[in-house]
Amino acid sequence: MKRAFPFLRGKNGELSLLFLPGFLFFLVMSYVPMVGIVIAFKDYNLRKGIFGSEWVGFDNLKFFFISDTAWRVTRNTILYSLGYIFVTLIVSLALAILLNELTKRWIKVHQTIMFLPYFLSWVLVSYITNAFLDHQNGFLNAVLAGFGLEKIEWYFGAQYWPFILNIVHLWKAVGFSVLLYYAGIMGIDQSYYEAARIDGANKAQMARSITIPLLTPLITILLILSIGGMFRGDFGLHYFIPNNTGLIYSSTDIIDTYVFRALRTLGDISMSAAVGLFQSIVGLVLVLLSNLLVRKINDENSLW
Amino acid sequence: MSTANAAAAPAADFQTGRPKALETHPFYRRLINALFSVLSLCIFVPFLLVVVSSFSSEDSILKHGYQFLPERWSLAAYRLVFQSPAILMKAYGVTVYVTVVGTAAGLLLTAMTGWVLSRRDYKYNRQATFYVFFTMLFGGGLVPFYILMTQYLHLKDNLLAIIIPGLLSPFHIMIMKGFLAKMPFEMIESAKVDGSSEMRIFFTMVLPLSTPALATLGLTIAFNYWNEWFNAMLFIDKPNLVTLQLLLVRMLNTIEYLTANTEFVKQLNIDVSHLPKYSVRMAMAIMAAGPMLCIFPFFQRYFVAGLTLGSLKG
Amino acid sequence: MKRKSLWLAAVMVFVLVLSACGSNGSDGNNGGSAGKGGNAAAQPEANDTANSSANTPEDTAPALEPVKLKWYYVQFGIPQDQQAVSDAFNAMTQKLINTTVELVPIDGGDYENKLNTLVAANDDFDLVWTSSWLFKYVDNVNKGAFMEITDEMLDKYAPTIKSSFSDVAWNDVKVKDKLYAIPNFQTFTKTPGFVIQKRFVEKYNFDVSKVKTYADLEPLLEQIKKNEPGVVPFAINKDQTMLNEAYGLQWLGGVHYRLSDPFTVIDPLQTEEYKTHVNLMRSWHDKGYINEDAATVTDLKPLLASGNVAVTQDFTLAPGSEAGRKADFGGNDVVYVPIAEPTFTGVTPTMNAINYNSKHADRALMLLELLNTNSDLFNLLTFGIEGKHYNKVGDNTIKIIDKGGYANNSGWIFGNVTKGYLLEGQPADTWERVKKLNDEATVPAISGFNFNGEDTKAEGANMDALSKEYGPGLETGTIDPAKYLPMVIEKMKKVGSDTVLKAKQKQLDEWAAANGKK
Repeated sequence: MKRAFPFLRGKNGELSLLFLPGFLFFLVMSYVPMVGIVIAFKDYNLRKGIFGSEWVGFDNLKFFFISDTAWRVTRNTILYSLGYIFVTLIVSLALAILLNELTKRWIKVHQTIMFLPYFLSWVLVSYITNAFLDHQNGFLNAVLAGFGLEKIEWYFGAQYWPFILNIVHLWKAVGFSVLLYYAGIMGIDQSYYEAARIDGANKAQMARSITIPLLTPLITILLILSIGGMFRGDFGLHYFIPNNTGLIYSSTDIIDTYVFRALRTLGDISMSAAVGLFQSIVGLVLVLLSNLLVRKINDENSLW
Repeated sequence: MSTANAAAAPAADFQTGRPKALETHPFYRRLINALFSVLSLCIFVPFLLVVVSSFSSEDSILKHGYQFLPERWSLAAYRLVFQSPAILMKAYGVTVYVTVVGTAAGLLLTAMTGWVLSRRDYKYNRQATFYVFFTMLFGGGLVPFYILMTQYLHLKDNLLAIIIPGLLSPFHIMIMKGFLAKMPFEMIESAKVDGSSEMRIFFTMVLPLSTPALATLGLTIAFNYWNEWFNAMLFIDKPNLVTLQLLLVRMLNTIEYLTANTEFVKQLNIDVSHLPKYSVRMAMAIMAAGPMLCIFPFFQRYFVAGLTLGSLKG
Repeated sequence: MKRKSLWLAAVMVFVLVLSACGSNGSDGNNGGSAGKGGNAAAQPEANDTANSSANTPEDTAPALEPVKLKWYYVQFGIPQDQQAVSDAFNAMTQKLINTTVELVPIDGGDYENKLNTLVAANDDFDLVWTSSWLFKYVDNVNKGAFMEITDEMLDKYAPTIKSSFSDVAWNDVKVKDKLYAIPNFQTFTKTPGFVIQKRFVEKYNFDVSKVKTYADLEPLLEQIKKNEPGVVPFAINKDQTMLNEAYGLQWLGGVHYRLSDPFTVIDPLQTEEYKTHVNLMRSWHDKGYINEDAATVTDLKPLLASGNVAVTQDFTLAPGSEAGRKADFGGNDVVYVPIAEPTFTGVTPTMNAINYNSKHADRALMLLELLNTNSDLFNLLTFGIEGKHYNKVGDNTIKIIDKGGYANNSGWIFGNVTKGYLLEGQPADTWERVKKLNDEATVPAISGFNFNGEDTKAEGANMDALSKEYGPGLETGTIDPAKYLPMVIEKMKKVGSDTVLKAKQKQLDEWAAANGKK
């Protein structure tokens, strides 16, 4: 084989061989089905199949843009994504650095507890949030009543939800993120810290000038990936937690939930494909831009 | 916990594995610990509510809502869940099988692919990375995927239909790439000088050294398989090949459909008395999430072991 | 450089080749049924004539060629003992019509998602259960998923089914005058009204015969609120919309209209009646008559089961079923207060359709015919195996064994329920009563009409989203109608509610003209 394909010889050849299973996987699982993207531009008729169906260009996106909800859900999607990214980044990074200071036993305990919410699906989490926020029986309102304060109708007030959703998201995501950053910190050579100590640095300075800079590659990759997914929202979070209550859609609805509701009854593949494609393209543009930016700053950290 | 660190000055603190000189002042350590304890409590409390609710009697919940100390305790929910254990046990079996096989294969493949992508000296690095990453943004959609799996790969009613799609994910590959990028290059170089092939380097050097990364991603991959329900719903018709989470999701969807269509339910006389009530839902949730929760502390051990090894070497 | 482009080219060619194979594959399926669209009906005819010409000499002897059918249908909870029943079922169908049937029950929670995908991907099956509320019939007809069932096919393969439904019933199933599914015979009437706990009716001497609309309940609700702490006077959930008949309105076939003028389509949101209703609901909400979480709660059952609800509304007050509702209300007796005569609902709540590219439509119809004529077969599929899943307690009455493994009692999915056993406790003349009620029910003027929303689906999708957002709040009195009702009407207009209204009226006019304005 090495003679037939001369560019497979040597180091590059062997590495390509290691890459082969991954290559095949994505070829079959992702690239072949991608021909389905054309559905976004067609009026899919199951009797005509993908390639026989009529071409309608951008008509499928019509439903999304004639509603003034389009602007609202897009705004929500972007704002929430940014919120989730940065809140999780800052909190998890801080916690990971702090966690490092504890003894092994306590690290284990806290990490385990922080990780527990990660295991629950959003449906289950919605039961929990409901137990807290329910107007009549919820725990929060019981506490308020206990202090002689008025009960708050959480599910009817749109203004509470940016906070509620961010907190719930953090609750579920913090375990995994802290673990990631913590593992990254583990990989940092101890001698750096020893040298810094000799130079008289304190812990805070060490964190700022050693830990964070050395974690930058990891942080950057995760950031770029998240930005690429910014136009997509966490469907489960935004659908189940607000309990699908219409009154608060103005602040909880994102593109995915809106499209899901609008199209579930119709079962129209073309329209949902069109919106999906729209999200993908915007995501691609964002990623290309951010990767370019990172490359300008520090070539090593960019994705490609 | 932080006992007599004051006087003795050994080379490394046995409790944290770090050189004594880098140790935090006990006061700060206790402060940080207090902070974490509060956080952990906040995180844990909602969990407690689920567990307690699964042991509450149904009418306590109806009358007083969810409480930490229910009016009446009861095992009725679990009794109901276990009365048809056959379905549950089969689902457990299927889920365990899928998780073990999928995680083993998926972890290996992820490591291989991530390793190649982390090598800046690989000629096709940029193209390969883009190739993988592009799939994260664009997809053909559900219908082409379904057609591929059923009509070309013939994977209907086959557990492979659940295992294969989850083997590799661009997100995991990128994380692996990030971790492996920190492999000291000199080590690789010297091995090459000794005449090792890339394969040998990967299997004998890279894998053993990347235990934290493998543990972390292994856990994530395992978790994704454990919670998998969507592919099971699409491709599995045989009732004894369903996964655990699928049972849960089905239950909830059923409740939603039936309560939104009470008109037809009454007209057709559909028997809804066996739909699980609140306490039973909680019990099922515990049953579904339980095993993963128990495994994690064991993973922890590998984690810490890998860490001390790494730091000693450094 | 050259090598890189070589790789790229290789990949692209590979992808193109595979996709070409893909298109050939799916077109292959369609090509079998003579290409695009319209000839779908012709193909089964060809099969039919081929089969029947081979069979006409012998009609009773099983000289039918062996055929395998696949049938997808819904089950709310897959029975544990499905395999045993399937085997017994197949033993019978083999003997009767030389057919093996792969019965594939799909859980109700998965049904819509799964079948939508199966249909879109041209999956291979013959029969599928459909209805007006789950895996929607009209939507699927518009997508082209179902095969047309012609009159000849009915006459030849399903004559009993044909005669068991009246013309009115058949019209209800027809879309654009063509038939695409076979309904299952069972109760087809609905009686909207209220359900009140008996003890409150008696305690406050409430005259239920005077109740014709919501406002008539007010005196009772006031008393309950005043004198019964802990009892919710009026309970509804977020999906229970207003009872149209309480205001002289009705909803059928996708359109709203006034009972006094059924051929004029109205937009319910813009009517005076709706305004009156939401204002009433708002005042009830403010007075504390309605359960606080009405706009967010989906499942009312737990609240009802606590026995602390005085009044609730209902769409189907089946006469004689009050006794059975006791358990739902925490063991308290209830009284039905119908506010309209039993109305014919149409037969679309439960039907079976044939896949447009099925190769054995004739045999599928024969199977359905059997389930409408052969009691043994029907009872097997509905109740399971005697002794294992149920016990006979009378001539035609049985008692289902609770943990027997096949307790769903879902005859409504398979065929004619009157061909089946009665359950312990049901009066012996139940089936006669059902038939009588079906025959005597008032038939709405526009029965048979079905609005085709294909051309206005963009507007429809948005209107749907808006109703889900504001509907529950308005109809449970949770938000202020003075502020929100005009706003919602405005928003609806912006996404095209007037366009939809015009389309509905146009279709209704055309249908009325074509059918002699019944």
